[in-house]
Amino acid sequence: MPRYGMVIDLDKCNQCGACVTACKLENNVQIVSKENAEMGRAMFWMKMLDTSYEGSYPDVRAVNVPALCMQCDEPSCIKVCPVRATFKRDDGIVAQIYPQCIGCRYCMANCPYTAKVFNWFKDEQPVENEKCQNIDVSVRPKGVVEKCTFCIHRLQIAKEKAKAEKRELPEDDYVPACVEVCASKAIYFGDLDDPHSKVSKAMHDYRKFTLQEELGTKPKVYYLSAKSE
Amino acid sequence: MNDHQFVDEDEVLFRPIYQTSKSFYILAAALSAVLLFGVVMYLRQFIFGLGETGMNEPVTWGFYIISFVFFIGISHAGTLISAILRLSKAEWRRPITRMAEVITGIVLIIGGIHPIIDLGRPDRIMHIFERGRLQSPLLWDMTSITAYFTASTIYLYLPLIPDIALLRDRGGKFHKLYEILSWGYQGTAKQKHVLERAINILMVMVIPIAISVHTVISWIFSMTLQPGWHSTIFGPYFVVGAIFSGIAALIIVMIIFRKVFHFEDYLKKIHFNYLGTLLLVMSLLWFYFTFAEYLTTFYGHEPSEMRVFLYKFTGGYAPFFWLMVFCNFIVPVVFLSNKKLKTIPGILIASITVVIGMWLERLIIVVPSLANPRLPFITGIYVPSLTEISLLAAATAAFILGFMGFSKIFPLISIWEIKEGREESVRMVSARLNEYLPSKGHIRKEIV
Amino acid sequence: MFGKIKSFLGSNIFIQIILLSFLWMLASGMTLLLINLVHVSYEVNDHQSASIAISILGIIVFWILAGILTYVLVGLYKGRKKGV
Repeated sequence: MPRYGMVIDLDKCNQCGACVTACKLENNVQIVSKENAEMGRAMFWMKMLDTSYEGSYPDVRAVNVPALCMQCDEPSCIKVCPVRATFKRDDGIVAQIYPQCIGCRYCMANCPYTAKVFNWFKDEQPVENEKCQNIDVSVRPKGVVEKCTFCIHRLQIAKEKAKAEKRELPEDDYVPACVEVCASKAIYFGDLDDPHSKVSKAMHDYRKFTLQEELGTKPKVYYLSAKSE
Repeated sequence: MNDHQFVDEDEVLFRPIYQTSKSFYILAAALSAVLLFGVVMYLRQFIFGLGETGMNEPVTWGFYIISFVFFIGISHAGTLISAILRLSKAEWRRPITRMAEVITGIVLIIGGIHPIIDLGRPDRIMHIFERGRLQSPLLWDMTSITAYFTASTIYLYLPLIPDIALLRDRGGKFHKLYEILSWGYQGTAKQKHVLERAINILMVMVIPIAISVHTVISWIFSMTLQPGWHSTIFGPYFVVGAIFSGIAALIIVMIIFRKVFHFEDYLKKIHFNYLGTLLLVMSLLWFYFTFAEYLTTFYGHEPSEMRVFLYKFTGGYAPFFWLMVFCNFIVPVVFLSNKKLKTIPGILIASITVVIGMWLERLIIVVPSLANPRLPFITGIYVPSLTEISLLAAATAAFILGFMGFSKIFPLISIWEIKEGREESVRMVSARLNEYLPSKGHIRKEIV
Repeated sequence: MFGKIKSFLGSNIFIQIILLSFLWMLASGMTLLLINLVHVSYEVNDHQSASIAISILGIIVFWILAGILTYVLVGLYKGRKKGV
C-alpha cells in the first residue's frame, strides 16, 4: 500500500500563495462573508501562516509558510471523534466523512496544527464561482468539519483510469492541486514508502523537519529549510 | 376527595403544594418567557447554522460547552452531598437532602441537553448510537451521565415514597398520582426495612458514579493535546470544583425557599453554618488545586503552555481570571471564616459569588486554551452572541422553573425524615454514643 | 373474566408495573446500545479492548440500578398490611 506524503521546500517557495488559491477552487471550499471572515471563520484548507517578520518598519516582510493538514501517521484528531467521521486510511490519508460528521468539533479542538475548518454557515457564493465548481468534489453541508484530503478525488479518478486502461498507477498521475500549481515546483508529493519516488528522494535532504515533531503525531508533511527557525 | 382541614405539626411543609400565591404565577410566566425566547433562538441556530454563535476557528467551543460543564458540575451538590451526609449519619442533613437531590435531577437534564445544542448537526445524533466510538471521551460522558441521572432519580424517588404516602393519606389534589407513586407504602416495619436497605445500597453506589461523571467530563479536555488542557490534575480538579459549585447552588436554593415558603423553623442558622463551613473547605481545596496547576505550568515554562498562562494572568482574559479568583477564593474566605460576617445574608452573598466564579472558571478553562493554539501563529478571539447568552438565561430559567414545578407536587423538605428525627434520632444517636464511648464509669443510658 | 382483566388494567398495579418497566427498558436499551458499539469496534478494528471494558462497566451499573428499584417496589408491595 502506498503511503502518501508531501515535502515542501521552503527555500524554493516564493510565497506566491497559488497553492492556497488552487486548493480552495479545486475542493469547492466555501468563500465566507466578510463579517464571518473578520470573526475568524475564513475557510482555508491550505493556509499561508505568518511565521515571522523580517526587516524593520516600514520595510517589514512577512515570512509565510504554507500549512495544511499534516495527514499524520498517528493523528490526534481521529482518537476523539465520537462517530468515526474521521479516520486514517490504509494509504495514509486521513479521511473526513461528511455525511457521518455530527459537528461536535472535538477533532478541531484536538488538532495541534489547527488544520480543520468548520462550516459555520452556508453563505451565498459569488455567481462566478458557480461556473468553476469542481464537479468531482462534494459540497459540504452546514455543520460539518472539513479539511485537506490530499485531493483524494484525484486519486480515485487516477485509479479508475488506470484500472480501465489496465495498467499500474504511475507516480505523476496523482498529484494534489497545490503540487500541480506551484510555480517554483517547491512541493513534492508521492509515495513515501517507494524509494524511487521524488518525494522519497527529497526526504534525504539534511534540511528536513516537521512541525511540532515532539508531539509524536508523525506528520507526513515535511518541510525543507536551510534557515534554523 | 375533600380537602380535609389537616393541621399536621409540620403543616408548613405541606403548604406549598396546596397554596399558590400570585407572585408564583407571575414569576413562572416571566421565566417561561425567558425559556421560550431561548428556544426560539435555538431554532434559529438550528435553521441557519452554528454561525449564529460567536465561535470560530480556533475557538471552536464556547458558551455551550462552558454551560454544559457548569450545570453538570452543580449536579454534584445534590446526590453527592445527600449521599455523603446520609452515609456519615449526620443528623443535620434531614431538611437538606430533598432539595439537594432535586437540584441534581433538574440540572442533569439541563446540562445533558447542552452538548446537543452545541452540535453542528443535531439531526444526526443517531450516529452516536448506531456507529459511535466508545474510545472517544464524549461517549464515556454519555454513558456516565445517563448512569448518574438514572441513579440520582432513583435516589430522589426512594426517600420520596414515604412523603408521597403522607400526601396520599391527606386526600386532596393529585390523589391518584400519589396513590400510584406511593406503591402501597404504609409504614409497616417490613416496608421500612426494604426502603432503608435500598437507600443504603444506593447511597454507597451513587458516590463513585457521581465522581466518575465529572472526572469523565474533565477528560474531554485533558485527553486532548492542547496546552492548558493536557493536565493530569483535571479529574480531581473538576470534581472538587463541581462539589464546590454544587454546595453554593444548594445554599442559594435553600435560602430562597426558606424565605418564600417560610421554612425558617426547619432550615435553621446551624444548617447554614455547617454548609458554610463545607463551602469554605471546598473554597480552600479549590484554591489549592488551582495554585498547584498554575505553579507547575509556570515553573515548567514551556512556550505553548506559557502563552495560555500569560493570556489568563496578564493578557486578554486577565479581568475574567482575577474576577474568578476573587469570587471563588477571596469572597468565600472573607465571609465564611469571619463569625461576624457568617450570617445568612453573608453566606448567601458568598454562595452567589461562588456560583458566578465557578462559571467563570469554566470559561477560563475552555476559551484561553483554544484561543492560543499550539501552532502559535493565530490568537483567537471569542465574543459570545445573543443566541448563546439567551440560551444561558433560558437554562437558568429552566432550572428555576423545574424547582417551582417540583415544589407544587412534592414537598421540598423530607417530611418523614423530620418526623423520624423528632421521634427516633435521640434514641439512635445515644445508642451510637454508647458504642463509641468507653463502657467504664457512669454512662447515661439515654440523653434526655 | 373480562371484568377481572378490565379491573386489573384500570388498577394502580398495572400503571405501576408500566412505570417500573421503563427502567427495565432503559437497562436493556443501554445493554443493546453498548453491545452494538462493541460490535462496531470489532468491525472496523478500532481499539476493541476499550469498547469492551467500558461496555461491561456500563451494562453492570444499569442492571444493578434496575435491580435495586425492582427489589424496593416488590418489597413494598409484599410488605403491605393484610387486607389492603
